[in-house]
Amino acid sequence: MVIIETVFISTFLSFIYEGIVRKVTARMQNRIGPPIWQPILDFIKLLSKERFEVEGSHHTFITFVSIMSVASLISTVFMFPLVGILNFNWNFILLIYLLVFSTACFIIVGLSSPSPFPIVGSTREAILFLAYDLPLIIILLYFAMNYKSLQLIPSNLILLFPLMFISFIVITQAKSGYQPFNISEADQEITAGYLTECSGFELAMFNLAKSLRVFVMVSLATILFFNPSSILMFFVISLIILFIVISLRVALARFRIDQGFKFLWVLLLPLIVIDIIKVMLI
Amino acid sequence: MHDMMIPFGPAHPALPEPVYLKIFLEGEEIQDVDFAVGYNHKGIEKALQDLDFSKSIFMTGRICGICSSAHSTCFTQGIEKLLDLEIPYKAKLIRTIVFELERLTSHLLCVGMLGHEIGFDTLFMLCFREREYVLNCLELITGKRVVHDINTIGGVRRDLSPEIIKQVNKNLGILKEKVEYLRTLITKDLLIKKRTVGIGKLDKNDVEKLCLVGPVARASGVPYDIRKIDKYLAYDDLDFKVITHKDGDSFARAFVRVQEMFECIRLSKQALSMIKPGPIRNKPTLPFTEKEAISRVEAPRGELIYYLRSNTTNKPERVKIRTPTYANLLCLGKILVGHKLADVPVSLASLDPCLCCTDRVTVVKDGKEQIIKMEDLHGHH
Repeated sequence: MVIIETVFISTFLSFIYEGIVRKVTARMQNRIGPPIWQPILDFIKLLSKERFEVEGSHHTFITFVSIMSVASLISTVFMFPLVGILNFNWNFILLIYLLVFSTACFIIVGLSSPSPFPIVGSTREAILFLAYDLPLIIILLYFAMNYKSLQLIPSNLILLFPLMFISFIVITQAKSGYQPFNISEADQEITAGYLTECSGFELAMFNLAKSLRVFVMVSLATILFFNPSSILMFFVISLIILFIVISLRVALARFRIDQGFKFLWVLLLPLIVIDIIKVMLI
Repeated sequence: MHDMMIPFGPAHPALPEPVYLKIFLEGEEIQDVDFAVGYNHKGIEKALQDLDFSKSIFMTGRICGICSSAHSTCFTQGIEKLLDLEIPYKAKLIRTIVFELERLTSHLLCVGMLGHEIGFDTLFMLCFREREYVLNCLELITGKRVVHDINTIGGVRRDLSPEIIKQVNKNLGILKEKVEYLRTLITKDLLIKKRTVGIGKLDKNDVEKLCLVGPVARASGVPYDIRKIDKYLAYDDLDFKVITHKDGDSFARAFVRVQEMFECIRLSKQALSMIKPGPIRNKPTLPFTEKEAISRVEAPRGELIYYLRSNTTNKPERVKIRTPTYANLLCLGKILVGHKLADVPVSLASLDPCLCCTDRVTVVKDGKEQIIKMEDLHGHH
C-alpha cells in the first residue's frame, strides 16, 4: 500500500512542481501563465491521444523505455528518508544508478528513431550527460565517504559545502533540461529534440519523467544539504530551491553544446574539488 | 560527404515563416546550405494590376504585417511621382512619424526574436511588452495597431490632434528608458554575447559583393541608408545619425538595431514637434499618363524598391517589388557554413528575414522549379 501511495503522491507532487515552474516563469516574464494543475490536465489529455507509429522506429521498445524512465525516477523517491521504503545500507549506489538510468532512457528513445531531430537531440543529451553526471556522482560519493556509509542519510552540510551546493543547483538545471542547459531540447534548433517523434502515451510518460527529474533533483538537494526535520520543512526548503532554479531558468540564455560542456567541466569540477580540499585541510 | 541533412522549415519553431533550409551537417558542423522560398506565394504583383491605384495602396499595406507602412508609403510615393504631385509638408511629417514608429516595432520584434532563438525567452517577452507602447502610439495616430493604412494619394488620411501628439510624446519618453534597459541587458549579458559574438560574420567586402541592405549592411560598416541617400519624406530636415558597427556579426546586427531604436525615437519626437496646423492632403490631378517611376524607401529591414508603370487607365500596368529580405537572403551560405547547427537560428534571426514580403514570385516551368544562375543571366547579353 505504501508503495502505491508513494507512486501517486510523487507523481502528483512532480506535476505540481512543474506547474509551479510554469506559473512562476510566466509571472517573471510578465505573462499570466497556466494554472498550477495544468500539467495534470496535459497528462490526462495526452493519455487519450492517438499514437503515431513512426516508420522505422521500434514502437514497443519505446513504450517500454518510457515506462522504465518513469519507474527509475519513482524508485529514487522510495529511497528518500521521509518515505523509507528502499531503506537498505547501500542504496546510495542504487540511487546513482537509477539517476543515470533515467537519463539513459532519454538518450535511447532519440536514437531509436530514424528522424534527424531526435538523433541530434540524443547525441547532445549524451554529451551533456557526460558533463553533468561526473560532478553529480563525485558529490554523491563524497557524501557517502564523509558519512562512511552507503546509505542515503539526510545531512545538514550546506555550511560545510556551500560551493558543492551551488554546483548541485547547476547540475539540477542541467539534469532538468532548463536554461542554460536545455541544449538537447532546443526547440529553435531541433524542434523537440529526442522527443520529437513521440506521441500519445509515450509522450505523456516522458513528460512525467521530465517533471519527476525536477522533483527528484530538488528533493535530493533538500535532503542532502539541509536535513529537513519535518515534511513541512522539506516542502519549504525544496520550494525555495525550486525558486532559485526557476530564477536561473528565466534569467539565462541557452549555451551551445561545446560551451555548456566546457562550463560544466572547467568551472563546476574545480568548485567541487575546492570544497573537498577545503574540508580535508580542516 | 555529409553525415546528415537537417531540414529547417518550411514549418519550424525557430521561424514562424515558411522558408526551407536544407542544412548539411557533419557532426554538428554545417558543411553546406541550400534554401528555397516560395511557400507563401500570394501573387500580389498580378493582383495589383487589377486594382485601381487608390485601392491598391491598401493591398500593398497588407503585403507584410510588420513593414506595412513601408510598403504603402513606397507605393504611394511612386504614384505621386507618376502624377507629379507634391504632398503637403504636414502629410510628409505624419508619414515619417508612422514610418519611424513602425521601424521601432520591427526592431523590437527582431531583438526579441534573437533572444528567443538563443533560448532567452525573457528577453522576447520584455521586447514584446515594450512594443505595446509603440503599438498604442500607432493606434492613436492611425487607428490601427498592425496594418496602418495612413497613406492615400496626395497625403495622409488622418490628422494629428494636439492631444495625440502629447500622448505619443509621453509614450516615447517612457519607451526611451525601456530601450535603454534593453541595451544594457544586451551589452552586459555574458550568455547573449557568448552566443552571438563572432557568429555569422560578414565583412565589408561580402556586403558590397552580395549587395546586402539595411541593418545587415550597416552592421558590417557600410553606411547604406536610403533615408540619407534619397532624402524622401521629411528626412532632409530631420537630424539623425546612420548607425554603423565594424564587427559584422550577429551581435553587431542586434546592437545596430537597438541603437537605431534611439534614432527612431529621436526622429519621431523631432517630427512631432515640427507639426503645424495645415492641410494634410492635396487633390491629385487625373488622368494618369504613360509613365514609369521608381520609388525606394528604407524599410525596417533595408532598401525597399517599387517600380511602377502606368498607362492612361487608373490601374497600374506593371508593379515590381524588390524587398530587403530578398536581397539579404543571399548571404545565408556565407553566414552559416562553418558554424554549428546551434548557430543557425541566431544567424537567421540576426538577418531579421521577412518572408511575407519576399515570397511573391517563384519560377516554375513545366511543373519543375527553375534555378537561374548568374552565368545564365550574363549569357543573354
